[in-house]
Amino acid sequence: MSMPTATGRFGIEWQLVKGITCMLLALMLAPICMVLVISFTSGETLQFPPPALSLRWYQEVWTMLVGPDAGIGRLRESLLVSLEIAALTSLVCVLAGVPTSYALVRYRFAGKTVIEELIGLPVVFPAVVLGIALLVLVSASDLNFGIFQIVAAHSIIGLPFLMRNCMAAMRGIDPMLEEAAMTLGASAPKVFREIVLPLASGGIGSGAILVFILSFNEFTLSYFLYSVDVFPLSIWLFQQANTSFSPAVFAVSSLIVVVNVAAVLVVDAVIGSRGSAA
Amino acid sequence: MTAIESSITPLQSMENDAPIRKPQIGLLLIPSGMLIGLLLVCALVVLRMSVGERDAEWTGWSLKAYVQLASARNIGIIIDTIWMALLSALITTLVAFPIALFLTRTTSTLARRVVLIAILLPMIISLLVQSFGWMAILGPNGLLNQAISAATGIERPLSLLFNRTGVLLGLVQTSIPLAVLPAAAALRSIPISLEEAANVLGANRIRTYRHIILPLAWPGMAAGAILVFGFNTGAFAVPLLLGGLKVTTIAVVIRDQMGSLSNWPLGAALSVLLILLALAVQSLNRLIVRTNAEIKE
Repeated sequence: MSMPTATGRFGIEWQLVKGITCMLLALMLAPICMVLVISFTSGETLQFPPPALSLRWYQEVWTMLVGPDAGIGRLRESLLVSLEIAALTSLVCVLAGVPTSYALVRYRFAGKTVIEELIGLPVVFPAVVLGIALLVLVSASDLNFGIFQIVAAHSIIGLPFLMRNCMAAMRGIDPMLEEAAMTLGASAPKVFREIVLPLASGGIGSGAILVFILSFNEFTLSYFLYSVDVFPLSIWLFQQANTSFSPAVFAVSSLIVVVNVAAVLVVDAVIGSRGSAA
Repeated sequence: MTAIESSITPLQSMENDAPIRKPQIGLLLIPSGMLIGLLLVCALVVLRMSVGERDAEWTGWSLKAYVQLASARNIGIIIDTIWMALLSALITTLVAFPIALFLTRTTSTLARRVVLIAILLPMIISLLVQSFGWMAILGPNGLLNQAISAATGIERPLSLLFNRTGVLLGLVQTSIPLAVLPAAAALRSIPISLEEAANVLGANRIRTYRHIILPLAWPGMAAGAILVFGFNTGAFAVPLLLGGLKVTTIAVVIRDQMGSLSNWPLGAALSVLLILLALAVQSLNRLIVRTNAEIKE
């Protein structure tokens, strides 16, 4: 640190980097902030700045959710369906991803690199193609899968995100611990249950939350796979965008933002406390 | 499955301990294999339909869809999609550079966390929510137009939404983290002593950027740009929500062909094209990462 200004960590250059970064981040977050501010308007329109602040649209959302007419607007129904889909998707990803993560972290076997490549495939696979192809398969099968067609689609794209977190946590476990337990007579399933799972729980948990957020916000796959009975929140919002446009929709959106930020903070805290990830 | 099991060799310290029972690796792979298998079936479905006859996608065989793919209109849409993805990759990489610099140079953990969360939010939060926000800012009666017409007196001076500008903005905004994270990783690997040495030898900061920081950071930036490009070639939600009906990408055409126009083979052929593009981008990315790793060794 003998020549601080020589490396751009202080002085004008640093101020410039800091200023540009703040400006860009403000621009990136501008639409989200607009939604938050307008949702508190006291007026009937989406004008900015709002004439005065009030909570009337949140009251409106509350009646849409629990009032006597909750069935008509379908908001409650969509919210519940989206939560159900997101929870089931997390569950499926954990059940499918945790054993495979363990196999990939602990063992060397033929075809391992191929499997690793395949696991990463959903990240780059175009969502539109996945949605269309699943729709074709579902209509060809003539069966009613209910919410499971969306759960399956979301699980496919969620799997790599869960496994990335899970594998990072499992790599941090000393194999000696498992060895010691086995030497003391524990069976392989018992070692997995009592040593690997508790030690990897942070990574699995943060991965599961990440998948939950991903599924809850997902639009493209839901767009192709929703039906009259299974009507997720993202499709509800899409329909509102095309029909009526009241500040109530902005209030719903703000609530979604708050839930998302909270979830991201939880994931950040879990990963941050593990230390090495940053 | 026996081929897989026979060649299992446990890692490191377990290697010498013969008595430890090897779990059934095949069993551990089955659940996720089913999900990935479904994805592969989907890829095969569109491949099969793309060489099928119209209205007889499962029984007939025809290459007509690929001939239609080469029509002037479709080529135009393909080039347009790739051009917008390229442009968005370029802009995103430029925008990502100062943010990545800030991330690597700041000494405050809190600032780093806040910036990380701030760039992740636009990618995570439902695009619908954000498109509402963009409408409020850029729409015909939005904040920006109000401000400009108040200043100049022109009625509805600018239209930034429901056209290519709006789509480009959305593409950049949602893919920022893909570019920032690899660039930050590359910048972090540059030792501070190199910059100090450049300074001692009389280089000013601009020369240091040109001859030291940018050449060393560019593989990371290129990897990020390729990721953004790949991500945005398949763009569907952004053009649908921010492009009105004016901006057409490959993904939107696939929706139209498979839906209202019911030309399934053409939709499937375009899908095959998108998959190939995604795989090509993935391989290119691997290549850059690997070459870079070899140089560092």
